[in-house]
Amino acid sequence: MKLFAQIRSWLKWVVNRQQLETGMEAEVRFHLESYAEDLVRSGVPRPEAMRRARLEFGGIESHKDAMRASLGLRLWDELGADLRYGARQLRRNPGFTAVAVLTLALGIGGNTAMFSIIHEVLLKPLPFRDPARLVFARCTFGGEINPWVSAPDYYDYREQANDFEGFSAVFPFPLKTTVTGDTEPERNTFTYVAHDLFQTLGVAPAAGRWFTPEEGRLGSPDVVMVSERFAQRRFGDSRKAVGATLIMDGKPYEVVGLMPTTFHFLDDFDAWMPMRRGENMAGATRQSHNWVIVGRLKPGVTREGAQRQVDVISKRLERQYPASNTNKALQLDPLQAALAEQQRPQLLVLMAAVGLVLLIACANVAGLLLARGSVRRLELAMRAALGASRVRITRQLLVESVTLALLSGVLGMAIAFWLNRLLPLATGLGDPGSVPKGLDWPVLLFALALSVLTGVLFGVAPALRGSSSHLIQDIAAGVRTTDTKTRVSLRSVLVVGQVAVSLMLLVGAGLLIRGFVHLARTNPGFDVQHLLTGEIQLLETQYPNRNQRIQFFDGLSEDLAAIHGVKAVGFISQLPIRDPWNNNTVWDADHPPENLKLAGAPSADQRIVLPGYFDALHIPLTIGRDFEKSDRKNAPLTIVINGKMARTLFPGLNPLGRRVSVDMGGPQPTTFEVVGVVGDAHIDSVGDSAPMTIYLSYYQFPDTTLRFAIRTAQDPELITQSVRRLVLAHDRTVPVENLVSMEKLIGDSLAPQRTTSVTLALFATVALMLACIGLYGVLAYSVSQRTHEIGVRMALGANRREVLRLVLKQGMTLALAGMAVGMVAAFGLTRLLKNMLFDVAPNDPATFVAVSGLLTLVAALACAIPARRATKVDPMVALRHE
Amino acid sequence: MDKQMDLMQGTLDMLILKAVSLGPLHGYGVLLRIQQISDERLEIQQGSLYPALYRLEHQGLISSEWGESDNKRRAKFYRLTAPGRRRLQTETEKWNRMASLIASILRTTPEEI
Repeated sequence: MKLFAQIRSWLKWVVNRQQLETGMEAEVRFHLESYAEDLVRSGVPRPEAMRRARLEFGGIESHKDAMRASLGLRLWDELGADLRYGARQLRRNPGFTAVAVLTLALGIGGNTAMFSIIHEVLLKPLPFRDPARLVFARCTFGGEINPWVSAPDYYDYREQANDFEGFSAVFPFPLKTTVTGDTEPERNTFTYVAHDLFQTLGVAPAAGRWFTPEEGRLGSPDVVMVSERFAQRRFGDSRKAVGATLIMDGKPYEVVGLMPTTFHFLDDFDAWMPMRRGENMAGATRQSHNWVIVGRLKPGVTREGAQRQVDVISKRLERQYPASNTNKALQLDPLQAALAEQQRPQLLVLMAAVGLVLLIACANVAGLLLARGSVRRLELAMRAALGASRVRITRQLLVESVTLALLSGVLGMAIAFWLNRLLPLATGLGDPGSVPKGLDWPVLLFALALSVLTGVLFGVAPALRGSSSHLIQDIAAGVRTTDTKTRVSLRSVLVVGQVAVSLMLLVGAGLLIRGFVHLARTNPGFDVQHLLTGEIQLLETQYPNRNQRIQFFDGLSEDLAAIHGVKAVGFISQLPIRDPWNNNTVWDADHPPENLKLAGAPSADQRIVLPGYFDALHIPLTIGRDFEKSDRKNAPLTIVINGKMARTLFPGLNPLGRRVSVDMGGPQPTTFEVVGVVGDAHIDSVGDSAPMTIYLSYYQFPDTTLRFAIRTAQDPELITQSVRRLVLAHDRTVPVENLVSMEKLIGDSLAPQRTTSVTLALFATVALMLACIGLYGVLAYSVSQRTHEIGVRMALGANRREVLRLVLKQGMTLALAGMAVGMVAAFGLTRLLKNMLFDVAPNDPATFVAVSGLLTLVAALACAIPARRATKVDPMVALRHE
Repeated sequence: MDKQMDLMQGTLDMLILKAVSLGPLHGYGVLLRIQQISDERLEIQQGSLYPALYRLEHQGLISSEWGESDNKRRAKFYRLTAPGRRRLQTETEKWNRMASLIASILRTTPEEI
């Protein structure tokens, strides 16, 4: 109550300051004049009365001060005075101010930019209702996250678990479909979701409704929900979408709901269709794992509690279906953490790195302030002599540094804003839908808090040092601004710290770069150069017949090969790197695993190809043959396997002619005869080793979609127009999609690793520069302080080389001490990078040696400038200088 | 030194509260009222009254508004608020208890121990 009244009164007077001052003035004048009049009435002459009134009132200004203090305005006023004083000081030293502000702004800007990404990806609650109750459920095998769940398993969990308010599956990969109708045909991406996915997430449709449970059952009418963005594009007006009919792949669907543009989950889908038990992927077996699950916990249910319940169900399924569910379980994680799992380590490493850069920047500015402190000693001593308390002086110096930091914060925000456009683009950090849109409130608050903290951090040592002046000595010392030993040693400690931290950052960056180079240089098992890739999907309605499809692709393949500059053409169901995964369980058909316990059997990536694919990709055919026209329907099923598969299934044996069984999701496994063995290729990602792979003949499995890889003589991008024209000539309604060179595909797939290492390298470079500026500053300052001493030495016969060595030794001692400290710290810390390093040990000696060499060289350069200046000291001038 | 100052300050606050409890007064009026009720025996430096008035108003124990004085001039009048009245009461009781306690201590004779 009382506090509240005081705050109100305080705010009132802070805001109406002028009113307060005039009021005080009027009140005092009234008092004086009233008293004087009383005195006049009692017989005192008027001039004398006024004099006595003033005298008895006491010092008017000091009483006014006390009145302001009574209102709690003193601290406020002094702060204002300190600010004005500080601003004047900063204006008076534009050089110092500019250097300090720039240095700090770099640090604050970098930190703010990184924080805004972290805030967006890791901290900001997901834009769903009560997101804390959402869990991500992923399948595990023997504790290893898979992460996809099979549809039958999903339905069992859904039916048996009652800790959840909602338990919804979604097919996590974008599927493609062609939308036709009155306007031009258009390709869109869609996926299948459990009918209540949006309900579970708690996102209302912008118009229309969610799917009904009925629509999640087989045989109900075909319906679709579309994104507002797509509806806008397709119908011109998104409001027209609900109730409209959408023709997708030739089949009509009724649009029942519109999802808002802001909705983003897993990918930017144009449309969602209800998952129906027994249809499409929802009808696959327990071995086909291709769904992810989002659950909403009932209020009051903990994730641990729900996990226990799910574990019981997993055990039950394991007993019921040992063939498919042995060692299989379901792991529940908080949704946000699970979605950001991949980016989390990189983001934290980069945040830590940029934090260290700020620390170095702080050390630099603290060093500058310390140096300036020695110049300002006289001024501060004077203030102390005039009665300023130590606390008062410390506070004033701190206000100065915080002012400096806030200035830097403003500039830093500008830098952050700029970096913010750059970093997400370059790093691919965050989903496309969650690219930071700007700097929002938490980020601004972070920058503000960081600036104040920075100001205190770099200001506190110089302020304490500045306020502890030894009055008498300082005034006695007069104009000479000599320095105490401790001031130099404090700066030296700062420099040692800076060098140590920059060494750590350099080592970290060096390791990541080496790892990235290893990754980029990995031979993926096929020739990535001069390959143009793309995708063609035929409409099921236009090509219902398998022979039509085979004819189309065969003809297209022949004509593509005839384009000038094309050396070979390969067609495959899923391109390496771009379309990873899709694996099935495989085994030697003549030696099936015991009890057909398939969970123990290995799985292989499955691809379907036209003849000539291996040739086009330069994947060597080790033994046997490629597919031929004769590998068609009604002919024996044939298969080409890769070397790893041959070694695993038929160790030491000739695999040709042997039989392989594949669980393709049907009731019975399918058995093939091995006709060829090809080289291993990294088809899932460059960093992962080549998986076991099976290749089937397109003539036996003619699907509507095929991707191509065209081997060209020159730059593959040169023939894109010819390819487009050629495909249109074959069928005007068939678009070619994603025409891009394989090199670019691979480059894009490595973008996260590349940016992490490049960004860290950038931070490390800035850190190195700052540390060297710090080293240079200390040394230059020390040389200027020692001019007299150096002059004496030279007068006594020291030559330039000895002077050079003297200064170099001082500087390099600091640098080497810093490197030693940094080395030890780096040795301990690089272990944290372990999971981000490809094929490089965290204590890779080459990196440590190279970084130390680089640092020594740069430090020597930083020392050389002041050292050279020292050799230029003229003994006569130096001695006269005093 | 400091302790004495505090005591003085506290006492002055109490006197001001008492003075305005008898009716709204301007600053100069408070001074006159205190001198009058103390029979001129209390010497207060006139200026030091104002910081105390401001402090009491800041604490919400008195409130002020501008009005017209007896000599037809603009003056700031202070009046006691409800919290101020409660404070005056508790302070008075405290003072009386303390005074009687001190008095009884000072009355103690050697025989009573």
